[in-house]
Amino acid sequence: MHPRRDTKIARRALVLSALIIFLGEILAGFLIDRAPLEIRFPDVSRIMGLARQRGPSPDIVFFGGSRFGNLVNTKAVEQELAKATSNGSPFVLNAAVPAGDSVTFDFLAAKLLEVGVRPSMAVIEVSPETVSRQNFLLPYHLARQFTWADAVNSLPDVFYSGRVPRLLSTRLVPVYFFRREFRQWAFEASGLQFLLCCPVDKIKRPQTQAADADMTSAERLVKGTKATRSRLRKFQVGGISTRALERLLERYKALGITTILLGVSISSPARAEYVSKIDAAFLAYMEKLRDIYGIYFVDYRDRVPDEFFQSAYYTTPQGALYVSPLLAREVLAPLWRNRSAGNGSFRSKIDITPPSDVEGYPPSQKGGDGVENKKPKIR
Amino acid sequence: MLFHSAQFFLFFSVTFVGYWSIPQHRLRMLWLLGASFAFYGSWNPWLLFVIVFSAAFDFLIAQRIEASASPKTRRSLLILSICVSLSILGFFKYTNFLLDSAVSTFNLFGFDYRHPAFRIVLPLGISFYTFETISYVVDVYHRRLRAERNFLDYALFIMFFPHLISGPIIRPRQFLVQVRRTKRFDWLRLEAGARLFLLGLVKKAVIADHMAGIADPVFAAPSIYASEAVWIALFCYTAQIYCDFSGYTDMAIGAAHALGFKLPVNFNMPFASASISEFWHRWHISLSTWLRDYLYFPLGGNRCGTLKTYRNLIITMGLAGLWHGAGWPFILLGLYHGVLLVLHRMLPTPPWFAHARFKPLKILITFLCVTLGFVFFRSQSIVDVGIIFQRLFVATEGQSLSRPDTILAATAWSAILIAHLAGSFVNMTRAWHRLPAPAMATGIAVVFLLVQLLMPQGGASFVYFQF
Repeated sequence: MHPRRDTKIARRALVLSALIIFLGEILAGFLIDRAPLEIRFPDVSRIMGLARQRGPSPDIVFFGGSRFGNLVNTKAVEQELAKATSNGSPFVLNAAVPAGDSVTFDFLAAKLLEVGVRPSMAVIEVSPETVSRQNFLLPYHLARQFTWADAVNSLPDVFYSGRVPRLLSTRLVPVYFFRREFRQWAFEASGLQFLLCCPVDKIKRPQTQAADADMTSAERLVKGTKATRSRLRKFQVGGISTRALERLLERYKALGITTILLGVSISSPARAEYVSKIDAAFLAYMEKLRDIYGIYFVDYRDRVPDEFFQSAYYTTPQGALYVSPLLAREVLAPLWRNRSAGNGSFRSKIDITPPSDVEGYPPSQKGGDGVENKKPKIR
Repeated sequence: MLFHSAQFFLFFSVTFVGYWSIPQHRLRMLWLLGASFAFYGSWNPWLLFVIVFSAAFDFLIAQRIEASASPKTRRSLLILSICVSLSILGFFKYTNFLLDSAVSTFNLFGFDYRHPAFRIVLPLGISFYTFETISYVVDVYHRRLRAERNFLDYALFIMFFPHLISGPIIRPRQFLVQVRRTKRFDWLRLEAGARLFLLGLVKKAVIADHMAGIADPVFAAPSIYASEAVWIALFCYTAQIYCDFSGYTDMAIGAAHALGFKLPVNFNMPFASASISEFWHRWHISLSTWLRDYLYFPLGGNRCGTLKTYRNLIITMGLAGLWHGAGWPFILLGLYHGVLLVLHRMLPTPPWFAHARFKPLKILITFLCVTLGFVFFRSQSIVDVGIIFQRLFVATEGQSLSRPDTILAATAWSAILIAHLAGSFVNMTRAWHRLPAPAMATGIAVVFLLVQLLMPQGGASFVYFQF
């Protein structure tokens, strides 16, 4: 063949292949947007399964991230509510999603409503990090739930949070980025699930806590405190998380669901990163939300003694057993009683009694820093 | 920055566009050298000093050798250059091994001596570029090559990023002439480069990394696995090492093509070899030819009688084993191959066995010999070598591999076998060029998308990076 003809063929082949690859990637992006939840966001799929496990709808749902996952022991909450209220034990669901924030909660709440899951009461995790304009969980959102439309809508936040590379990889090379999901989808659809346990695929996507598993608690504390500091570096209330939170509150207000924003407990070294300026802005925002949406804000950030933390912001199982009954007794029971008595309107007066005892713990272990005697800040 | 990573794609795209956008040849070469520095420095910028020192030292020595008329001075300079190059290699690669071996020997004689382990970082590609600098100085010494006057050209010969980390080991005569030649952008070469790179990507990311996932756990704790699991893991490792290293080489040759350079072929369907000697003509060709030209021939090759030929083979292969890694299993690997080569020369082939119908049997025997040699290559210690061989040849109960692992291993080997058969009977390049452009484009695109899809979640580094 003539060399010039060969060159022409080579050029055409390369240009055409680049075009086909580009189109293939774009198509894959649209395809992954339509992937079933159990493929793209298995945590949400799992929670939806849990929500429908024990009846039509849970009574109280905790929307949170991994911190809530550790903090809330649903059994302890249910037992305490059963004791505190006379009308049986409500069904409490911990809908905590690893690396979840209000963007995730809004998505999850919408999915739950789609299948008719409508709680009477919702407790939503809040902290200065989760209302900051710089959203540190954007990489997860881009991977797990954002579609092309979401990606376009969140462009300013993506730029502000410095997550452009992640946006580009999820949207421009989705075949590579979502290869595990595509493989799972294809194998499940073709009935070849057994091939899924290919050796390298056994490595799971990094989980927020699993990465710290080999560290000592002191190392985890230092790492967590540093992470909190870095997440608050450009603190400014706003952005995608506040928009999602407000959307969720609006929706729940319209449905008459009692909503409590819970300032999630963290250890004192991490809490020290909430300097007065940050704290004031955060509390002012909570105040604003309370006024607009008629929700409750309960500040539990300093409610758990440091001895109950395994890292800067993850409580131990004992910590969960300490705080869950407390939360049930101080916050949920009065509101639950009010709802049961027909006083479900927002901003009703709550009778707050200081906690007296936590079962199973000797006095020396309780409230080492005197936390236990503080009144919870229900606003 | 691994060849199959997103960073490399970005780095290469920038380098490629910048390279072909620069009109002047010298500036283009400078840009390439800068890119090579950035590539190497991305691992550990401090190690740039080692490679630059090594290159500069041999560059100057070669000029002195050429300028000198006295054979004695020339010889002394050659010895000095080789000693310095090997000392640098020895320090970084063999210090701890030598100390450990010395301590073990002392302890054997009842002396209780311990030494602290030195935390020496092994400069990437040191084994490869040391051989390249040695071949350059030796070639200048033998007047096979004129000493390079331009340090930038010489530095590019050493540091050209596609081959820098794991070869192929290039000869100065092959490369320096290409550095001087003005380059023209060529779609044909770019297409050939893209095709080779893609082939390497398939080998590395689709086959080698998946095989590693099966072989690694078995070689990490061989004593808990059953005999059949160890056999499967060994075959998986054979597939891994071949696809990993030849995949890297294909990517290196492909990337070099795109920049207008031609690197030597390093693998030529090695598992189709009908003898161990043929195997070394097909496997890591640039190393085996280097060893032949710069070690085996200077030792006398096969011109000094039968016994000395055997000795030379054993020494050459023993040192080749040591080149691969600082450890007794590597030395044993070299000696094992040396002995196989000696046996191949020593044992007469019966005339009936030379018939073509026995070729598959010869290929199978060669393949099994080579595969068993990889036990030395992969084992963590001499003790593990013993355990693995015991499990390979004495039926032992233990943990088995899962069904998907076995299916995956069989699939990978089927692909390798088909590729070898196709490569043996069909001229693939010619067949490819007969395709119309849309078919070529679809082929490239589909394979590229499939590679992305089939890449494992946690891809591993290249095996030869540790050498």
